[in-house]
Amino acid sequence: MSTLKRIAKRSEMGVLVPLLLLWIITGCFNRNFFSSMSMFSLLRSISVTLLGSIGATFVFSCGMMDLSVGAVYGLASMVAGMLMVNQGLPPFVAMLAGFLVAALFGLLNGFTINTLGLPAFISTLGTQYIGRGVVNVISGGKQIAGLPESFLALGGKGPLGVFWSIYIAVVFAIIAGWVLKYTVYGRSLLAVGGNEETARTCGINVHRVRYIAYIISALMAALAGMLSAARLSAVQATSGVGWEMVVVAATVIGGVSMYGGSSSIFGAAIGVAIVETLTVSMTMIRINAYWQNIVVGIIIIVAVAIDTFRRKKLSGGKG
Amino acid sequence: MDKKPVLEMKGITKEFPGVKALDDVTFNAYSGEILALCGENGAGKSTLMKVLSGVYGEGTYEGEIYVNGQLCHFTDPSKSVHAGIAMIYQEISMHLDMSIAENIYIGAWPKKGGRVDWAGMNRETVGLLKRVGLDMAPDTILRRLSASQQQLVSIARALSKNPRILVLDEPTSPLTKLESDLLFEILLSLKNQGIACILITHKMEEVFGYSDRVTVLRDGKTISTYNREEITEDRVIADMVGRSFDSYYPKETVPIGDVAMEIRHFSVAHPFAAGKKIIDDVSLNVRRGEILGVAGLVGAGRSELMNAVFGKDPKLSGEVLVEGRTVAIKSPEDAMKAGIGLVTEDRKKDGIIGNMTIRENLTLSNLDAVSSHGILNLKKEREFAGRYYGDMGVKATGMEDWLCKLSGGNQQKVVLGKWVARVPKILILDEPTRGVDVGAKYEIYKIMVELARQGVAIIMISSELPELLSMSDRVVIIADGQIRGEMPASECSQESVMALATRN
Repeated sequence: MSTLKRIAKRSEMGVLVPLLLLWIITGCFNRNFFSSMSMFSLLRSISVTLLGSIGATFVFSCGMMDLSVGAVYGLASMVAGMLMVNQGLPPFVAMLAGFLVAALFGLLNGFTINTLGLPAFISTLGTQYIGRGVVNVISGGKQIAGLPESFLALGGKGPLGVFWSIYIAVVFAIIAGWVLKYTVYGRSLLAVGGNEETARTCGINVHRVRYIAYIISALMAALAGMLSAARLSAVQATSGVGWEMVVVAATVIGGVSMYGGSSSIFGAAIGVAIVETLTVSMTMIRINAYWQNIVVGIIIIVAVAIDTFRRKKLSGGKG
Repeated sequence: MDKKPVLEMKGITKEFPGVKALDDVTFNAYSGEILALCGENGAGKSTLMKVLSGVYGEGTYEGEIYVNGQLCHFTDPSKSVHAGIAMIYQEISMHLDMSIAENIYIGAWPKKGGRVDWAGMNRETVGLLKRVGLDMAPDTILRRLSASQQQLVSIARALSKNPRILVLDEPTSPLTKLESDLLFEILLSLKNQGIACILITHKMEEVFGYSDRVTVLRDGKTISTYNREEITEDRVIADMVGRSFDSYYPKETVPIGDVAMEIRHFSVAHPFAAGKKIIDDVSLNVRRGEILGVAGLVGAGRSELMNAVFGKDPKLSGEVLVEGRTVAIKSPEDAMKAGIGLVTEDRKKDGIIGNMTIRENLTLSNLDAVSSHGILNLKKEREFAGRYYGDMGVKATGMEDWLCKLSGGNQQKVVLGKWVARVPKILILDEPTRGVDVGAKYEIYKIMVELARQGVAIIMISSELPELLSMSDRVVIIADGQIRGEMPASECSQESVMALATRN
């Protein structure tokens, strides 16, 4: 098989083509779309959401769901921000504390799903509320501004005039792709998603696999939240509200199956790019903001439908 | 019988990737008869019935179906129901927390003025229950019923659709002897009401005790059709098997060594009935090079015992000794470390991962062997998997085929392969040849013999007595969660084992 054919056969192609079309169409309507400034800012939005999508890919891969990431995004950045501004802690220490809080939420999700055996959809909805509540309790609903300069640098540009968040997202995407394909953990994760009972029978510690996936998901959300705080130079009490839905939508559009067992970080990245481009391009083409949600909604349904039908086709055939 | 058949299936051919499950199958059924459809597992009986019921819709197979002389187009199951065909499947699929009446009318609620007509529904249910000889209130919750009573409810559900043709797929497999007799009394009365009953079975006593005609399938082909009084059991078995027993089971005697594993005083809680034990104080052992057969009816607790030994399910009490040393097993991981392997009863449920490749399935229980420090060595993995892919004789286009694309027999070889690859001291095989075609069965037996020769202790659970008696060195019989007998396989007959397995 020629390389070209092999590339064409990859399932990610199914979403890459619409993305390119979307770019071309937007570019035709508005030449400014291809200017380096708007491209860079698009890539920056993509990079932040991609971090969440990487976490979601891990959680989806083992057949689970995490609705608490938006709250963790907000909480981790709020904790870090308050420790920097109110307690004057160095950014590094404050961020570490933010990650620690996120990891605790990952553990809590793992506990409700593994140990208590609750459905992931509902229990992570519960932890989402808890996380949001904690943000409001500790911040009193007020925003935190006046973040130290050294922290704000994270929101700016690095070498070659490329935003730091883009570098960070690319590095994590590569690591995540490698982990999924080349490590025992990645294989175990996909096995748990493919058939939990088989995985368990083969000696895989299903609980541990899921705990780790939720912790990764929470840490990625925390990182995204802090990068975004550094860019906006402030932490809002409402930051990250609804973010989990953007993450889920983007990941699903990228072809990562919600039924578990298959995953592609590259696909997830394209899914994120589609969702983020849609937001930008519809604004540029001057489509009413309310219409944008309708379009994203339709795309989600189409993406999930494709995934579901593909599954049915595979599981059909043999009785 | 020179009247016209109520059902004719003509030239049915159904292919799955890599296997021809049905090859030009033709058969008829008449009103007011019991037709026994015989064949081994994998002969194509269930596939044929899935074609008839519309589960495999028109277009996915070749051939024609006539009901009452009219060509039918069963594109989906509802069309088949409408034509008067009712199915009763092997596994009882019911809603345990709903009432009898709700189970019977699920999806077809009788309505009055847009609302469910509960009174009418209960009234009708009483009538249906009378027809199947079940004297119970229609609002009884199904969970309170025994397996046989649930089976009768599923027949009542089938009758509620006024079928002309009733198909029963091994209806007695979860039932005791007494319960089966009762079921057949009811079948005979349904037959006298003019219903064509198609009985899928491989139990000869059912064929010769109750049927009017016998059709034998083998390897997806119709082999023969007889009037019952014209033939003998041996003829039917010969048609089903297609070769003599001796060459069919490649059993070899190998030297039997020391005790490899001992199970002491195991008790396991019943999965559904609170406070009941499905396994009650069972002890047994297996020696190196020995194949220990575990006989018993479905529901006797055999699989539950083995799953608990393997740490897959919790136990109430009991201890496992491997080579004389007590091992604490709390998870499959612990059991594997102790040198135990388990091929589970239901491949689809907990044996395979359908959307992973053959290679990935083969190494799933061997990830430590193909990795170092948590990082997979894909080259090593390919070599490792390739070895067992070849040894097991898996037939596929390559190791990168998804497992769900393979036939049952080849899937089972992969499952077996991943445990063989661990070089276990003790290998537990739970119904290792279920849903496996004849050729693959033979190859699986060969592998078992080879493992025994290498000194592996094998425990085999099987509900197919000929297989169990031919392949085992020693047989234990479990009924009602307890050991009811133990003897060398050479001293067992199917009758003696069955008598112990059905004794209460």
